[in-house]
Amino acid sequence: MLTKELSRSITFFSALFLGALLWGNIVVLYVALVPLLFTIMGLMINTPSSIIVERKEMGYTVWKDEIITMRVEVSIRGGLGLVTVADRLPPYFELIEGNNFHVFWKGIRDVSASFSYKVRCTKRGLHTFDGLQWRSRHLLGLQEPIVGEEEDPPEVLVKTKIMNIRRIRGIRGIASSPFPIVDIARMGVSTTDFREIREYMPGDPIRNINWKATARYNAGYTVKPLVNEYEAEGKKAVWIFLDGSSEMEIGSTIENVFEYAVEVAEGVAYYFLEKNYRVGMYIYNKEGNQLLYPDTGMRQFYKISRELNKIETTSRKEDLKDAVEKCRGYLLSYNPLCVVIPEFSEERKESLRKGIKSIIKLIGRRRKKPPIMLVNIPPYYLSSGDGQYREKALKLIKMRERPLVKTFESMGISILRWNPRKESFATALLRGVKR
Amino acid sequence: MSFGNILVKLFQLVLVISMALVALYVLSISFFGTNIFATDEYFITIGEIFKRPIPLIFLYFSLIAPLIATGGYAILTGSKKMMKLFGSALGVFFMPSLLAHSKFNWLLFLDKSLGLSAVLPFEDILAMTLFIVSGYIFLLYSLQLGKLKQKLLNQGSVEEDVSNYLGEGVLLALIFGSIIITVLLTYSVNYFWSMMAVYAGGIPFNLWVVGIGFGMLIFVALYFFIATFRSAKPEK
Repeated sequence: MLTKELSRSITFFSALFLGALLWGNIVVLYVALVPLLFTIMGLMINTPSSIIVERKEMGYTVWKDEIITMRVEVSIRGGLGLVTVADRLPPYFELIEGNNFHVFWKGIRDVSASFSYKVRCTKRGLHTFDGLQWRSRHLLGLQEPIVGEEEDPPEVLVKTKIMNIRRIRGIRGIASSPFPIVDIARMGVSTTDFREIREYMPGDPIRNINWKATARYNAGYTVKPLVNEYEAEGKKAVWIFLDGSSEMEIGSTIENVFEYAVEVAEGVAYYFLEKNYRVGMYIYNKEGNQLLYPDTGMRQFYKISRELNKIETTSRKEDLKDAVEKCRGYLLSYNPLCVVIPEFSEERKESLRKGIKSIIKLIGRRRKKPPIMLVNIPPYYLSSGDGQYREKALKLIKMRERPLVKTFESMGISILRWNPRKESFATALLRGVKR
Repeated sequence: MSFGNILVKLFQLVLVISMALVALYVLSISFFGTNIFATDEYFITIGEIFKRPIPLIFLYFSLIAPLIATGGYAILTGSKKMMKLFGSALGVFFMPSLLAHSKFNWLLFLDKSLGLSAVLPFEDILAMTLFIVSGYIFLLYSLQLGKLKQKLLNQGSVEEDVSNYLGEGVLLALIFGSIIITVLLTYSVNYFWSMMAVYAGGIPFNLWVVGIGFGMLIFVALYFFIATFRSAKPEK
């Protein structure tokens, strides 16, 4: 293919040459040699074609908001011209320091250079780099540029940072939070830890009957055997409900409510799984696998983490009530503590209220306080701008939200409001528990 | 703007001014029969068009100023359109003097002659046309290089990287190379012609021109065909 510059040179020569022929003009005929010779000599200079571009020191797994250093080595041999090397970043990768686009001038000597830059991974998930691309240009643009690409662009798994929640105090008496650390499982294999003596119920093993206590208790004619009850193995179960609807994505593409909600879900899962709780999760308004069976241990955490890392919002309309219905069996069996991370808005109030009611119906109230925590990440905290107007607007929005909060507080639900810009979730959670 | 870029711009401006002055000189010789830069007269009369003498300085500025302005504007803004306009104006200035050296005068069909006041010698007009054409090629390509640099900067390249680009130097070398080869060919053709005159003296000039011309066209067409369809693949 003729490039624009080459066709221009040929046209220039042809115009002079044909003009010279037409007029029989020797001067113009000689002068026409200049563009011709210039073009021929230009074409004799080759475009740099022996280019090796390699990526160095690349980690596969990084944490969200972690700054990673990318290093690229470039080697150019032969030819004369300009070589541009670009490392095309995936979306949500922010350039922090340096430059991912470089220009190299290939003169007579071979070029061997390297460049590095720093990027921040701002969104969780599996990101594929578009790969290194280099473009070698002819000195005068007389030849088509040579374009090369990295054959196997790397993939980077960006994991959500696990929140460093060190300790939530066990509070005696009625827990103000639905997460008392000493809660134990309702179901499971019995341990040797004695809990209480109670009346015999059909199905209780005979060896559990406390004969001495039965004798003391049954002084009259009716005999009601008493049995020893032991603590079940393991701790309570925790169930996370996460809303995966696109309405959760309020804010920028990098910083939005949904991203923080994912962070909360992962943080909560890590905290309880580390303490041997059984954690299950249901992501409503999500495509594909929505339910993660309750289980214990770090393997369960990695399962949850993997699921959360690849989650994308959808425009599906599934209510919390429907989600609760789908998890009905688990909620009834495990009677878990529920952490609900919903879209907390006036429009979704009724749907959320119905969902919470159905949870209460299934797991019941404990001393009038249902073990449910609603995590509220108000989007107005993520708004940009500065100054007194923003502050006042925030106050107004907060006041507007108050009746909504009251509705759920009157149901006995504990609401945890988290401002991601001001504090970490761990701090917010501790604050909620201590209150 | 880096120091190198400023130097390039200055060089381009000097080139534009020189080209404009040369063009004006050629025009003045062919139309007025006098060197506009060396005349002692302060007034000049242009035949029957203007009956009264015109101040020379007025004529000088009215011709040179728009030419330099067009070229200067093209350099400063990188406008190719203006550069083409500048080139065309130079062509118009040179046309009469060049046509005076033509073997075929098509104007004779109209019973007209060029009617020039003076004709520049062959060597002079050749040297000046070479200067104008090569200068124009340099300006056109350096404008393109400037645009490429700006494009790279817009794409996010570092100024330091781009300033390392020494395309203008190679461009100059290529142009000087072309001029030298052209001049060598020009003078060697005379020797070749005198050697061949014994054998080919009987062949009329028209046939020589047409024969060499078409031969060259075929050669050039073949060369470009081979050069442009040669594909280079990147190494991995």
